[in-house]
Amino acid sequence: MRRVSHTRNYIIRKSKERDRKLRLFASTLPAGALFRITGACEGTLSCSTCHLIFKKEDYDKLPDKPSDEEMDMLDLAYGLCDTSRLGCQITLTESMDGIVVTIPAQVADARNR
Amino acid sequence: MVTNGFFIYIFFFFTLLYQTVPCGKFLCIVGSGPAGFYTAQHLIKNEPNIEIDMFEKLPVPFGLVRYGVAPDHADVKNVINTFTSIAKSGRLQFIGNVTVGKDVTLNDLRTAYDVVVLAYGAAQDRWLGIPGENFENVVSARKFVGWYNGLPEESNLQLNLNVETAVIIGQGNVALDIARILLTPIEILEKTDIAQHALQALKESRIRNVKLVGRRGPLQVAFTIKELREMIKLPEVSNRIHLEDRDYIEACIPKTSRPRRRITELLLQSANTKQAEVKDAPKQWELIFHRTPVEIVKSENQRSVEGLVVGINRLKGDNWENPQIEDTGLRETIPCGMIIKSIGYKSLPLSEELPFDHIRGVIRQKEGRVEGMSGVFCSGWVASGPVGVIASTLQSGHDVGKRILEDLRKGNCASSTEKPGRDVILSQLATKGVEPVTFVEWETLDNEERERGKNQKKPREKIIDVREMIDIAKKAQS
Repeated sequence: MRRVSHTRNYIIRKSKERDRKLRLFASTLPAGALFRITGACEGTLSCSTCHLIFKKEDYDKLPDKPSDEEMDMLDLAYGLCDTSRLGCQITLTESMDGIVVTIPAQVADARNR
Repeated sequence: MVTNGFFIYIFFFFTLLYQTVPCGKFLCIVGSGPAGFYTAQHLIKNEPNIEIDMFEKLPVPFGLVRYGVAPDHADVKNVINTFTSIAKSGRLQFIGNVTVGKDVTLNDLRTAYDVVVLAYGAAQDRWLGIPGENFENVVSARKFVGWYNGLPEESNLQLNLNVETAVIIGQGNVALDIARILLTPIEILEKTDIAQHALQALKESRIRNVKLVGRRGPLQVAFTIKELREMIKLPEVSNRIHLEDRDYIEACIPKTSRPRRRITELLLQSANTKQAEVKDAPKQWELIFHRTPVEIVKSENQRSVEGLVVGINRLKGDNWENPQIEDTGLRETIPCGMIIKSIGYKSLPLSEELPFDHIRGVIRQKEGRVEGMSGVFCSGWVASGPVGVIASTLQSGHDVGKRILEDLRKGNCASSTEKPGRDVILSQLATKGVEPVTFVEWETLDNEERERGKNQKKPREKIIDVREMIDIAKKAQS
């Protein structure tokens, strides 16, 4: 179980609503490597625990728009908003270094929507 | 002088270590599903000085991840990898084949451990309370799912699939799971870990039409969009969504949240598909709204079900999220040969002393702390009610874990005396002739299931008999 290395600054600020509840793991990080954040289902679009919220300008610059399948799982995520993505579907690159993402504090039952 | 100072430093250092958890270090968790494992995960990550024992009634771990998640939803089961690493972390000991409430009591556990966490889920049915509910071929979704997932106690479930129409009462994800398993082509099912007896029965099944009946309307469906899409895409299966007031629904859509809007639009779009385009599909599923079950009927000559009498509803009130259901007084009968009730689950109290809300079917608790029982906590469905996906149970587990550590660090403990821990429980079990199964033994069983699966081109062939499970698990040691 490896944790995201904060010195990479891909994620530099947590939600004001306190602790993260997701379990983040990153693949090995040699300099310049790409990595993804995954959650409980290990990146298979079967949960919403890797939910991240981007700033609008960063969200717009993400190279791949969300598929229907990603949108479907995002619909179950707590704190869903227009700049939400599932971390496991985004390949983070060096150019994204320093961007700020918010990790919502909770995951919630889908049927509360 | 330096040496003395050094030893004094070490002494205080160790005292500080003990101070982090003044109340003690032995915890146990009852239940090895997601609630148990996520609670354990939180405790292990945040407190180095505790040991956790995890009791499980069956010889195998993982609860509903093994016995609830549908066979064709293999990715959802990836959480098993997380749970396995928790079980092998050295901080947790899995003790399977031990029924709390029978082999050991809650009181025994409270005597042995500083903290007891109840995470044993909801293994009982809810009942409609209508005439005919006891007829043959009327079963709860819980039993049906247990049956196709290889739950030992449901392996002999009496089902007659030699009927054309099945009605499922309820419109949640479990209802869709069952409809999907009933209608999925066998070539797909036979590559999953579905239980062999169920696969055989489904090969011979004559069921062509599955009707999902709900009290409320399209805006209140409890299933989620991913599962609805799967149904729409089922090969060789058509669908019919009975919409009664499309204009009203379309008018509501702009007022809804994004998730509700997307799923409602998908429902409307699917209801648009002309039946002619798919008229040759050999199988069909239907969504029937605004119908409340009133009575189950059977013909005089047969022992089995013939139909479901339903009352027709209208929905009232401005709050479309939670409308009032009004009976119009009209009745109709839906012909069918099988009825599956997918209306939710309940828990039962593990012991008489456990404070319990029998109406909701949950333990009385606040923030995970069981009312009036210090040192006893609960997590997951047994605490919150049987609603929610694995992600919400993850949350629950971590929240309760936090409360447990808060109490341990504040010194809010059950007692000031030292608890003995697992040894007293294990010797009690030995006296009773109970054979606890360890995690390593589960891994032996796990390997055997995978090996058997290889012959059938399935990820595993689940072993159904408890005795066989124990014998295989302990084979390596003998």
